Amino acid sequence: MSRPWAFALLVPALAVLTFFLAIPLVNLLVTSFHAYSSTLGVTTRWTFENYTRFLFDRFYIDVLVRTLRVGLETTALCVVMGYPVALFLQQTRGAARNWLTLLLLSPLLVSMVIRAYGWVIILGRNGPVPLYTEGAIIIGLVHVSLAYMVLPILASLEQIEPSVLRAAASLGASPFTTFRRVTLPLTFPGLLAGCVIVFSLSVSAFVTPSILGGTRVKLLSTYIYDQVVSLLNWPYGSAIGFVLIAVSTIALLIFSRVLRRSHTDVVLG
Amino acid sequence: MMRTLHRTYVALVYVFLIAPIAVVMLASLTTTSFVTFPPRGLTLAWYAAIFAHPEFVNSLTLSLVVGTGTALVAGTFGTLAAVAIARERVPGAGLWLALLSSPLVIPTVVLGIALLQWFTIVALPAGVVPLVIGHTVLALPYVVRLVCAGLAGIDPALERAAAGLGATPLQRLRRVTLPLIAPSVIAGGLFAFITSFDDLTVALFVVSTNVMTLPVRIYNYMQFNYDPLITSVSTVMIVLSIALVIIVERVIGVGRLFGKAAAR
Amino acid sequence: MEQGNRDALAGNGYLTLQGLRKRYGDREVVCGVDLAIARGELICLLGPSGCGKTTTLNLVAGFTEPDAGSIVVDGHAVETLPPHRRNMGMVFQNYALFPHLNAYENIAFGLRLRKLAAGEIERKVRSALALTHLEGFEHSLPRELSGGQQQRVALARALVIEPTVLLLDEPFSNLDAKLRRTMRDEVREIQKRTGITTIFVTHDQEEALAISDRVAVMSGGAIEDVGTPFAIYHQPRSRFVASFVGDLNEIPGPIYLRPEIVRVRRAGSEPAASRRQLDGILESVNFLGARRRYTVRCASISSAIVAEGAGDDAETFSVGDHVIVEWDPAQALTLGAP
Repeated sequence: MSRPWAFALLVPALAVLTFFLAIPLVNLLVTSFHAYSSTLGVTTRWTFENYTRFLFDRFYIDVLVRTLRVGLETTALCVVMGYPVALFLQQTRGAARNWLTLLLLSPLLVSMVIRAYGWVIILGRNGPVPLYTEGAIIIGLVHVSLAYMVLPILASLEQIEPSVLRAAASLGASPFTTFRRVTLPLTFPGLLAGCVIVFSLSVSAFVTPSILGGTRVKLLSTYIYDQVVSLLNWPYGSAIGFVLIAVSTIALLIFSRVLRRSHTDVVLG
Repeated sequence: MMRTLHRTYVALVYVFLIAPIAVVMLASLTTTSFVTFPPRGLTLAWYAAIFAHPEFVNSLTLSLVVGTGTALVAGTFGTLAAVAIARERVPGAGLWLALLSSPLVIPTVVLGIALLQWFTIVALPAGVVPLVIGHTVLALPYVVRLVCAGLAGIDPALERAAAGLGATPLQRLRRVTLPLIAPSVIAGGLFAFITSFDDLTVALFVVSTNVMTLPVRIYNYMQFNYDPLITSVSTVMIVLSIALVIIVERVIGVGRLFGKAAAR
Repeated sequence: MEQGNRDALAGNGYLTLQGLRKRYGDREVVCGVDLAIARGELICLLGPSGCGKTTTLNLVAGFTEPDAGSIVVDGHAVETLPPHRRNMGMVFQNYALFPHLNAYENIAFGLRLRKLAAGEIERKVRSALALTHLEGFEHSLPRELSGGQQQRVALARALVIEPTVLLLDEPFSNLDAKLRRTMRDEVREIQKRTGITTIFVTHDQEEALAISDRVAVMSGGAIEDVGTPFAIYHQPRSRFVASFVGDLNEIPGPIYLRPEIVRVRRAGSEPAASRRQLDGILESVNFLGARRRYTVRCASISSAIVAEGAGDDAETFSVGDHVIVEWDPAQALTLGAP
C-alpha cells in the first residue's frame, strides 16, 4: 500500500483525538489562565492566580495531600493483596487458572457506579470502615485497581525460568530466600508497572471517591467537579485539573526512580 | 502449611473482589422498601418496578445505542489506525501509538469538563452524538492496542504467500489480514462497548434532564433515593454485560479475550 | 526391568542410589535404579530422551521426591531432604544464571547464603573465576556473556560452594560442536583437579565416552549396563547398549561389527588369513575428512553394512562398484558381561 493511503488510515482516529481531546484540552488550559469573578463569571483577564491559589488555600492543600495519600495507600494495599494472587495464578495450571483469571477480571465488566454502590451497602454508616471516610474510598479504589496490579506482576513471574529457581535451591536457598533474592527482584519491572498504573488510576479516579467519599471527603477529582459544576468557577476548576495531570505525571517519575534505586540495593545485598 | 495459608489468603481476596457485586445482585431480591443486606424475603418486584420507571428504560436504551455507536466508531477508526501502524508500518509508528494512547493519561474528569466546555462552544447539545464522541475518545487506545497486538501475531509469511499467489494489496487486506484480525477487532469493539456502557465520568458532563445514560441516572438516583430499585437496575446492567461477553466469547474464544485484553 | 549389575553396586559407594522409583501419572519413569558411585568419580548417565536419566538426576538433587528407594551420600540418607539442604552443586542445561546479577554475584550467591565473611567470599569467588578462566568478566551480566562463558559461570557457581556432589544436566547441548569439545575437556580437567564426585547426564555418546570414569547406559527407566567407556564400547551387555554407544552393523548369527573394523576391498580380492568376507555393491561413499564412510548393500542382509577407511586411502571406489566387505571375526562384539 502506498504511503499516502497508509497515512489516510490514521486520519479518522487522529481527527477524533485532535478535535475532541487536544483542542478541548487546550481550550481548557486557556480558561485556566483567566480570572473568575463571582459576579461576572469567567472574565477575559489573564492571570496565574488559579495556579498560585494553592499556595495559600488550606482546603486545596489538604485535598491535594489527601489525594496523594489515598493514591499511595491504595497502591500499597494492591501490592499486598495482589502479589500473592499473582503468585498463586502463576503456580496454577490448566482450566483452574483460566477460571481464576476470568474471576479476577470479571469485576471490570461492571460499572464503577455499581461496584461503589455495592460497597455503600456493605460498609454502611457503622462498622469498622464507615462510609464517607478516606478508608471507604481506599477500599473502593483497591477493588477497582486490583486486577491492574495482578496482571503485570503475573507477566513478570511468567518470564522467570523455573530452572533459575531450582538453581537457587541447589545453592542452598530455602523457598523463602529464593523468593526474596531471586523472584522478587526479577518481578520488579512488573511490580513497578502495576504500581504506576494503580497510582495513576487512584489519583485520577472520580466515581469511587464521589460515591464513597460523599460531601465530606474530597479528592482532587471531586473537588474539580464541585468547582466547575456547583460553583461554576471554570478557571479554578480547570487549573486544578491540570495540576492533577501534573501530579500524576510527577509521581509516576518519582515512583520509577525510587523503585529502580531499591532494586539495585537488593542486587548488592 | 504455607500452601494452605496462601490458598486461604487468595480465596479471601477473591471474596473481596466479588462481594460488592454479589451484594448488589442479592439485595435486589429484598421485599423491604429500603436497601438492606442480606435481603429480607425474596421477590422480583423490584425488577417489575423498573418498567414503572420509564426514565430508566429510556436510559438503558440510550446506553445501548451509545455503546453500540462507540463500538462501531472506535472499532472502525481504531482498526484503521492499527492497520496503518502495525501492518503498513508508517514512519513514526511509535509516535502515533503514543498519541493514540494519550486519552489513557488524562484523568476522565478533566476530559469531562473539557468536553462540556467544548460542546457548548461548538453548540452541540447533549445527545447520542456527543456521547459517542466522548466515549470514542476513551475507547480508542484500547481498540488500537488490541488490534495492533492481533496484527503482530500474524505470520508475515502468510501475506507474502498470498502475494506470491497473485493477490493485490487490497485483496491481501480483505482476504488474509482482515479475517485473521477479526477476533481482535471484535474484542476491541467489545471493549469499546463496555467502556461506553459503564462510563459515568464523561457522560456526567454530557447530560441534560432527558438525555441521561444509565450509569448517570443510577448515580443521580442513589443520591436521593434509598429504595432497592438501584440494585435491580444494576443487576440488569451486570447481566447484560456478562451475556454480551459470553456471546462474544462463543464467537472468538476466551483465550483471545483475556490474552489481548490483559495486555494493557 | 532387569538392570546391568556389572559394577553397579560394587564396593563402598560415596554416593549410592538404591531402588529408586518415580512415577508420573500412570507412567513409571524411573523403575528401580541402583548405582554406587565412588568418591571423586565422574559417572555419566547416558541414554535416549525419555529413558529417565534427567529424572534420576532430579531425584538426586531433590527437585522431585522418589516414590521408593534411597539416596545415600557419605553415609547419610538424603532422599527426604529438600534440595536446599543437600549441598549439591548443579549445572543446568540452560545454565539458569540469575539474570539480575552479574557473574561475580552469581558465583557468590551460594556463599552469601552461608553467611561467610566478606573477605572469604571475595577469595573464593576470585579463585573460582580463575579456575574457570573467567577473570575480567566478573562484572558482566549473563545476557552480555557468550554461551560458553555462561556455562563457565554456572560451573563456577556450583563448585564454589564446595558441594559433596556435582550434578550436570546436559550442560553442553546448547553449545556448538567445537565449543562442546573444549568445554567438556575443561570440565573434566576441573573435576579431576577438585576431585569432586560428579554425575553427568547426556544423550551424546561421544561426550560420555570421552570424559567419564564410568558410563551408565539407561533405557526405559532403568540402568541397562554400567562400566568404563572401554568396557561399554567393546563389551556391551546388550544389543541396545551396543547400538547406542556407537554405530553397529548386525549380520545374521547374530554377529555385531563396529564400522571401524570393517574394510572395503575390491571385488575378487583374496581374503587374508582368518578374515571373513561378504560380496556387495557400494551404495554410497562419504568423505569425512580424516576418514571415509562406505555403505555397502550385501545380498541377504537387510540393512546396508557401514564400513570405514582412511580418508587418504589410495584405493578409491565408486558408487555401484562390486566390492567385498571384510573383517576379522576376533574383533566382532560379544554381548553380555565377560
